[in-house]
Amino acid sequence: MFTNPNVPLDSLPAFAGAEYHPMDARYPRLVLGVASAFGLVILAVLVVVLLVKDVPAALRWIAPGGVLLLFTWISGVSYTYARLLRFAVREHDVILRSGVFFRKETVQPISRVQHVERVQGPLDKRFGLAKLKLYSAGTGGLSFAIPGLTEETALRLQGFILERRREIRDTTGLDGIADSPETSPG
Amino acid sequence: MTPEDTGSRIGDDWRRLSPWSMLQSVAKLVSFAVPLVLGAALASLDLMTAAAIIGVAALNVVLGYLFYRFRISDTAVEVRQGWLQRTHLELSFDRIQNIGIEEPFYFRLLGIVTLKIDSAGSATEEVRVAAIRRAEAESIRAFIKARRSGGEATSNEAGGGEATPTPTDDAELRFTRSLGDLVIHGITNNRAFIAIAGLFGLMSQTNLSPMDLVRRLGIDFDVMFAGMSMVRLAVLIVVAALLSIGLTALLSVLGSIMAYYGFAMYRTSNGILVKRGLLTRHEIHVEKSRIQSIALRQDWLDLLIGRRNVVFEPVAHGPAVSNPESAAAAQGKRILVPSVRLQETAAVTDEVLRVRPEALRYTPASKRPFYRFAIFFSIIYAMYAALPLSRQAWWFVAGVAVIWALHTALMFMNWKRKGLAIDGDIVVVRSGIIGVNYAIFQTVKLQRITRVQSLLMRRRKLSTLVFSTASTAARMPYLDTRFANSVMDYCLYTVEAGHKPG
Repeated sequence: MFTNPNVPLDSLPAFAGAEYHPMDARYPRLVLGVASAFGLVILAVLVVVLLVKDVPAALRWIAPGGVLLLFTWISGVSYTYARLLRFAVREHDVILRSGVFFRKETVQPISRVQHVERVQGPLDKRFGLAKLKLYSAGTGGLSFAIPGLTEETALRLQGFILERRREIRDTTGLDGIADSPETSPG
Repeated sequence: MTPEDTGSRIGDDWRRLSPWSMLQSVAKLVSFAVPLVLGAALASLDLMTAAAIIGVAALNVVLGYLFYRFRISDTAVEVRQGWLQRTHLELSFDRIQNIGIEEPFYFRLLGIVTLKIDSAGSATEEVRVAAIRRAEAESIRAFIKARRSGGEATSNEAGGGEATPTPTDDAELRFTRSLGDLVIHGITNNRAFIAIAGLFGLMSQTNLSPMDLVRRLGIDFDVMFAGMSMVRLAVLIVVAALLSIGLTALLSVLGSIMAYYGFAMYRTSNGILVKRGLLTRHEIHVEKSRIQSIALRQDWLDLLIGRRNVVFEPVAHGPAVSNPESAAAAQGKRILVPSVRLQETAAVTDEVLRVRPEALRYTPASKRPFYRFAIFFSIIYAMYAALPLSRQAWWFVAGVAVIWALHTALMFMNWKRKGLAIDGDIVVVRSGIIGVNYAIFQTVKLQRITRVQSLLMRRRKLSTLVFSTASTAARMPYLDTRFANSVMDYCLYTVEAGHKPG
């Protein structure tokens, strides 16, 4: 049966008003450390090459200077990105806010989550951090990844999402693609 | 359940395919071997190497056949295959997206078909049961369908031979395309890739460049062009261009007819059934609820003659495809209804969703970014026109002016087409430059929503919305942020409050 109820727009819960949490305080520092370490390694290799090889004098200063500038920029942006990263968890969805120059806010309804993956790289492990990856159905199945969570938060959040999804699906009878065979009378 | 009491062998036993199934692999092998041998002859490759490669491929076909087993239980389709690496795939009925029947021309005389079963999972989870009798394919399809909708049917009822209702039996013909429509489709939409797919394979497999071919055929451009006047050369270029356009159009028409010959769309109890194809007949049955979105696509030539393509999009795998008519459609995952007249559109889309995109009111994109881009590009063009070269050559300035005017006009039209309409539980995103495209989906089909703002957009209180369904992503740029927020909140509300599609 087709119904088309009026929805009072003003009374809808506003995603913009959600309570956003920053990542663990160590996360931006970790990102900065990795980016700078990477830049320093490149710089070191370059300096060695410049010392060994016979290159024009001008290049001797311009090349390392350029690389230094580039990696300072990259490190700075990565650090700011990590500092600005926010996530919010509501009853029905998870929100990720990211971006330095472009601000992106992605809302992932929990009922549409196909599976949740907890990932820990070697550095994450060392610092007790973890990343949570949320997958939904279809094109570009990876919805978003929330990095820089403490192990404990990641575990709790994963549990919460899976538990909520079960509850939601039990009450609505919908699966993640909104296409359980019994629905849609046409 | 044993084969004896059903007649058709739906049951728990593991089965081997008919040896005829190797025909399909052999057909693939031939399409791969012919260019290889040709290439070997042309590019003076070692013929023995080519023969060895073909031999190994042939062995692979036989071993692949010998190691393939499938079974259809009460709840799932299972396949065991592979001789180097054994794989066991179990595809439960409730995860099946669509069931198709494929009938290559070399199967037609034998009365056998290939059953294709697509899942909601990854693209590798696709079952192909090759070379089974048509009646059997139909009964398997009916069996799975009956199991999915309620599951009260036992395998005995479903497997009971002729008495079994099949999707074709209760199907009601709703829409067809004539040969003339397909010729039009071939001209307005480039379908040449279907016809020349094999040819491209040839080129890539043999390291044979078009220039090599020219050289082998004894054509020497240097000799041909030496002493030719500018006028004759210009005429030659124009003729060559016209010829290649004509040839492409011809190939495209050919491709269109090959892919969509005898196109017929049926309404079934719970979805649509589409039959199409000249050499290989395709039959695809999709449940209505499995269709995630509808795309109406119109090229500029389509606009001139008042036609468009309607594409029904089920769950798509892999990276996002911006053009729903591309490779995926050719593979038969998406259902493309070719070159539909504008006034016929509603009749086609009504089979899945009642929507009249033309009758809706659209919220346009903000004018401001358009002005900004127009001014930005105008300055760049002005700088070009001010180059020293332009002092001697008036035609250079005129050329820049023409390109500027064209570019600005196209940018304006692109902005003008952008629009977002929300009608009850249906979202429509309009786009396009010359032709008008629509992306249509129910809010319940949304997988997630993203709002994007650049620094400048934040200052101007503008936002871009990206709606992602399991089949497509539709982008609506430069909306007023307050409006964008309320759209997002509304869509999330309908998704999360658990409204069912319908």
